[in-house]
Formats: sequence, C-alpha cells, structure tokens
Amino acid sequence: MEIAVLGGGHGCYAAAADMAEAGHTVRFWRRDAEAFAPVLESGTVTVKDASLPTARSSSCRRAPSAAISS
Amino acid sequence: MREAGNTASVACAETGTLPWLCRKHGPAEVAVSVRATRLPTGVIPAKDSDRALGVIKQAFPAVEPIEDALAGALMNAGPIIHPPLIIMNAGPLEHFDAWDIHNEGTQPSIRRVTDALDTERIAVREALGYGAPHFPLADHYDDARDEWMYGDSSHERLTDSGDWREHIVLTEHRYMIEDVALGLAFLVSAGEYAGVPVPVARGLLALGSAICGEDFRETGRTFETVGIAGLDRAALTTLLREGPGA
Repeated sequence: MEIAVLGGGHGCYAAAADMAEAGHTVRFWRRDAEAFAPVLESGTVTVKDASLPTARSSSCRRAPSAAISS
Repeated sequence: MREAGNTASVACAETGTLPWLCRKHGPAEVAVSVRATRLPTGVIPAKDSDRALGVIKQAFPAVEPIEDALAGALMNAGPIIHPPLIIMNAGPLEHFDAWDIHNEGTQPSIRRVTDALDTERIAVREALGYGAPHFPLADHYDDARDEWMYGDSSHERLTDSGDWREHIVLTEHRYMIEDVALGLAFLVSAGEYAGVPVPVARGLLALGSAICGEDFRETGRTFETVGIAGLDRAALTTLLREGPGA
C-alpha cells in the first residue's frame, strides 16, 4: 500500500518506520527540512523496539524501504 | 479540498489514541515502548466507514469501527490523561529539570481527578447516543480490567522506559495546546451541547487558560469554533454521516 506520513513528531517517525518495515511504500514529509536532514540523507529511521530482547540499548530495526522527501 | 475543486471521495479517520507510545532518541531514531492493540476509530463521512476502515486496516489491524468522527473525538484519551497530569504537576514540572508525570507525577489524588474527568467524558458520549465500549481510562492503569487501547502492562512499560522523564514547558507543550486548548475545550463544549455537566473538565480548562493567559473556552477548538454548535442533533448526525459539503 502507498502511505504518506505527514509531520515530524515522535509518532510520525514510528509510523514511517513501522509502515516501511511492514512492506508498505512510505512517503515521509515534515516541514522542518533542517531537522529532517539526517533522515533525508540516510533514507532510514532507526527503531529501538522495547518489545525485542535487545531493547533500548541497540538499533534493532531499520526501515530501508522508506521513500523520504521534504 | 472541495473549495479547491477536488472531487475525490475523501474520508478522514480519527483513532482514540496515537498508535505508538514512543519518543525520538535522535534525529533519525525513535524508541517505541508500546504499540496500540485496540484502536477505536471514527470516520467522516460515516457513510464511507466500511470503505475507509477496509483500507486503514491493511496498515492498522487493531482498528475497531465506532459510530462516527464525533464518537472518535470523544474517545480521545489525550484530553483525559494529560490535563490533570500537567496542571496538577505544574509546580514540580517548573521547579525540576525533568519530571515524569506518568511515574512520580501519577499519584492517587491525580488519578481520582482523571477518573472523575473520564466519567464526564463517558456521560457526554452516552448523552449523545454513543454506545459502549467507552474505553474508560481506568482500564489503562489496571490489567484486571478490560484491555485498553495500548494493551496490558503498557503503563509499566511506559514508565520503565524512562523516556517520559521530560522537561515540559507548560505554556508551549502539546499536552497543553493539543490536549487542553483543543481537546479539553472540545469536551467542555460537547458537554454544554449535550446538556451534561462537566465541572471537572471546565475547572481544568479554566486552570490551563490561566496558566497560559488565554481563554481556551473562547479560542480553543470547540463546537462553536468548528461551526456545529447551532446544529440540532439530527442535523449534526447528517453532517457526520454525509460529510461537509455533501
């Protein structure tokens, strides 16, 4: 499915990452391009997932398929 | 969108809460403590609910259909949980560098206020004809009760993360803007529309307004500012079913 995530808050980052990992095509937008630069450059959002055994200390999952724009 | 000439069949859906309990840990990193397990969701126009939720369920399997967008707005947990937490913790929030409103800030007296406020929300829902489940916030705190939107043990997982030990600027934070000026003001106006007394909501709204120096009953998102205060219940139901500009 094609999904657009609009906004730069906590939940938007979680949404973009989770939806990309679930196999959806994600377009991610936030208005603050400067704050968004690290995501724009890498094309990824790293998720620390508290439900995984290595929670909180490591980057457990990545979202490489997210198509990101600003 | 209609005024701009867009003729697409657009439906908007609103969930009872954000599907994630999460905090960014860096400019490209987010920590997720909890994902929602139940998402009561209302759609406007409600006549498109099956179509919209059929799409949305592909992304959010936890979605549960409810009557319409107003039922969804009155399921919103933010204006119930956050106003008592930030307003009754205003002193420590301003005094200490960081303060966890969900841990040391969640004390029995504050929980009693939350429960009283939630009782008002549920009374407004019932007066407007919306049925159970009302997802009482007490379920969030007590695993012996029904499963709430974030599933069991979510409050413990949230406080265990430490991510909610934060510096909160009362006049700017979204718990004040989103949950008092928008959400709580809406609940107060909905109570007035429905003829249901909401003294706890009204009191918290007055305190939030005093803290911010702005009368949120007048300037917030209310039945008046949304433009539906003058509709009778039948006209409001039609609007919710058919959508604006139908």
